[in-house]
Amino acid sequence: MLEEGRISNRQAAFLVITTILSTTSIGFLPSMIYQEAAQDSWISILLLTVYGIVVGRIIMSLGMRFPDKTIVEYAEIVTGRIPGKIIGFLYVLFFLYLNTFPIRFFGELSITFFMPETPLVFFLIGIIFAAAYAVRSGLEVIARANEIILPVSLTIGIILAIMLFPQMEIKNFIPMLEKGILPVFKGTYVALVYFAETIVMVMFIPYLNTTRRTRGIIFKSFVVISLCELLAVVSTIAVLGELAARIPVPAIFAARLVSLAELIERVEPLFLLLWVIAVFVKVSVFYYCFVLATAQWLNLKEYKALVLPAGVLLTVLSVVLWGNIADLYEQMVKLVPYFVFVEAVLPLVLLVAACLRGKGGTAGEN
Amino acid sequence: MKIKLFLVFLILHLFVLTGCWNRVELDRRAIVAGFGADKAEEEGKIQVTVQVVDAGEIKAIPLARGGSMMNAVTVYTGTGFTAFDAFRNLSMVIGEKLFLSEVRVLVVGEELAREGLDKVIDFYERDHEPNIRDYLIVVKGGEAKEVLETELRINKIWAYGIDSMIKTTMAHSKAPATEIIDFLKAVESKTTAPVATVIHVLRKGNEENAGEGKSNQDGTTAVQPKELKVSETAVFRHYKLTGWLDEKESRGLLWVTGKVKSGIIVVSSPEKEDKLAAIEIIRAKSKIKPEITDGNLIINIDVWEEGNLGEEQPDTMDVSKPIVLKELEERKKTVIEDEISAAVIKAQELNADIFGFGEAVRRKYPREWKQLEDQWDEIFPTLEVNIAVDAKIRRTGKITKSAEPKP
Repeated sequence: MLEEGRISNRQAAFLVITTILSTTSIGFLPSMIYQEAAQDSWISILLLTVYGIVVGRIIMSLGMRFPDKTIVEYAEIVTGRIPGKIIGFLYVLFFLYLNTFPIRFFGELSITFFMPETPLVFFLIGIIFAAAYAVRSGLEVIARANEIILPVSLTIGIILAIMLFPQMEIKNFIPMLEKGILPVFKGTYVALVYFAETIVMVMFIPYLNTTRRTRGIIFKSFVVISLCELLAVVSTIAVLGELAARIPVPAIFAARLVSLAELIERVEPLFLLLWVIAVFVKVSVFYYCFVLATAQWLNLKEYKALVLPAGVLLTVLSVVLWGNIADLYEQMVKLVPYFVFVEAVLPLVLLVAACLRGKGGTAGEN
Repeated sequence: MKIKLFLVFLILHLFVLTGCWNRVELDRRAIVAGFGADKAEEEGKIQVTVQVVDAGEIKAIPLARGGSMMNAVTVYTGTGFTAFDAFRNLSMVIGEKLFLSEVRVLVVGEELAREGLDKVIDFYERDHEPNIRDYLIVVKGGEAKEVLETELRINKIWAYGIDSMIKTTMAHSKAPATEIIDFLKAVESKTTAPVATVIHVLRKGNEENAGEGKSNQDGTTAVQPKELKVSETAVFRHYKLTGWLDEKESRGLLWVTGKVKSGIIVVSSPEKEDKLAAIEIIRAKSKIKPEITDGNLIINIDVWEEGNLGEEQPDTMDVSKPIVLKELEERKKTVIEDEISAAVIKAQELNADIFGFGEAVRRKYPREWKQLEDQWDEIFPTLEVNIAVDAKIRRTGKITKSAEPKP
């Protein structure tokens, strides 16, 4: 075993929640959804929740057939050696590539809103260095850190939403379905990648300390995710209305508008705190998945040696992959089908193949 | 060993935790309190005026010592091809980098407003320092430069004085208090016309004050004794200024948008027509209800208002009698209706949907709206608007009748 640590079901659920929420609710996602679905974004969120639960169930069913292996290992069992290696490599690349988005976006956001003249690479090194430390310490450490971080960030998020309450206008949501149902689906589409980030569970399942009641992980985490997502999207739309479409990070923009009795104003540093700690967990999770998957793919005995090279790779990739911020936004939408393939379609194919070929424990969950 | 490592770790913090890359110490920062934009004399250029706070002057020099201790600011003006360019060019004069986060008012001269506010607003929204909850003010018949150069008594930082003048509009409701974000929301809407607060520069009678002009901090510009006044409304179409609402129409607008917070309504007394009574508005609510019957669009405006009698000029009116208050309520209702219809008529003349009727129709009749949307410019000027006001008088103050000489 490469990883000695074990995490509980609750810790796994917390990791999934932070991973998904960090970029979706406080990041760029509300704006991306709003551009398509306008005032009906909240319906998109509901659809996305259903999608997330379905994909999560597929991933969990697949993983629980092989309760002591990660996807890189059991892909070979299911499909044979060579195709299995290819699939494993796909996941290695996926965990690396998907991680560059939140890292780069973290840098861009900090620059745009807080420190316009600081070089990008300083932010990237900062977050990757912290994440590297977490990854070296192992899964258990990340999970425990997250047990503190998630409640703190949720509390900050809820406080921000409450402070914005006086400026919310319910009329921003009317009329419903003004342009029909199609924009709602479009809004759902752009966010598909992020709601299927439960894919990280394919790397975590062998390290759960119990094989019982794992079904609850997905459902419970999606209840929290959905509620927080709705809170974020609904409050930004209620405050900003049509402005939300033009602002890449509406939540932080909304945070700037907080003004309570002329006493509590400009609370966006609070938001920055929330953003930094949440993104830190997300980056660590994907970083960890990448390093672990690589080690398993190469049949290494130890993954820690890979941490620093992987960090350098992540830093470089996050800088060179996109020339400017417009590039970044475009890629996010363009790459949706590829990511969805890796996150949802491939696990489904593997699950069906495993069932047909009778591989893995049929007992599955519970 | 461990302790040594820990110390190294601590020392490393010195490099990491020293603060942001582009930090500027407070004394090296020129803090801007008010931002003004005008059309420059040179064609196609923009003139920017900033009111910079002299950080040292804020610590109160006791008022009693006399002298011009009301100046805690210096005003600078510069030009450039765009607002940002002009703003940065100012640093050539000031020698410090300007800091915009403390700005509270964005003042725009009439000429530039007529040309279009898009030349300022984008910079204001895009840059990371300014706050789009600052107030947006248009100078009627003047330049922003003139406004920012006007010495105010209410605050040492004059721009903050303007800020409190706008906040005080809630006491009279004769001008809207428009934040930049409100303006932007209206611009984003397809039909709603944005509005902005108006400021006037009142030049006091020159005879008695002649030669008494006070000089600025830098001792160069002589400032004529002037006063500022916040009232009235500037009406825009998209980004361009198209007209004004006077005080009465402004309040009419505020009645419809539900933003009347307080104010005085003057009516003539029911007993003697030449005597007046003043009624204070305590609270008000409004609702815009569009209605389509047989293809005809009608807008119903419902306003509910509650107030107290604040003053009456002594006459025989006995306000302890409910019937008298009823009569006063009737008169107040007529005044409010008057104000609203004046605003509606003016808006229709300007063909500017300042009330957001279009948005109200869109919300209630999304299907019909698709046809109406593109013809809104033709529909709005001839739109039928019904005004229904429900005005109440609840209390009459500490006394009932005013003191009267006994016959």
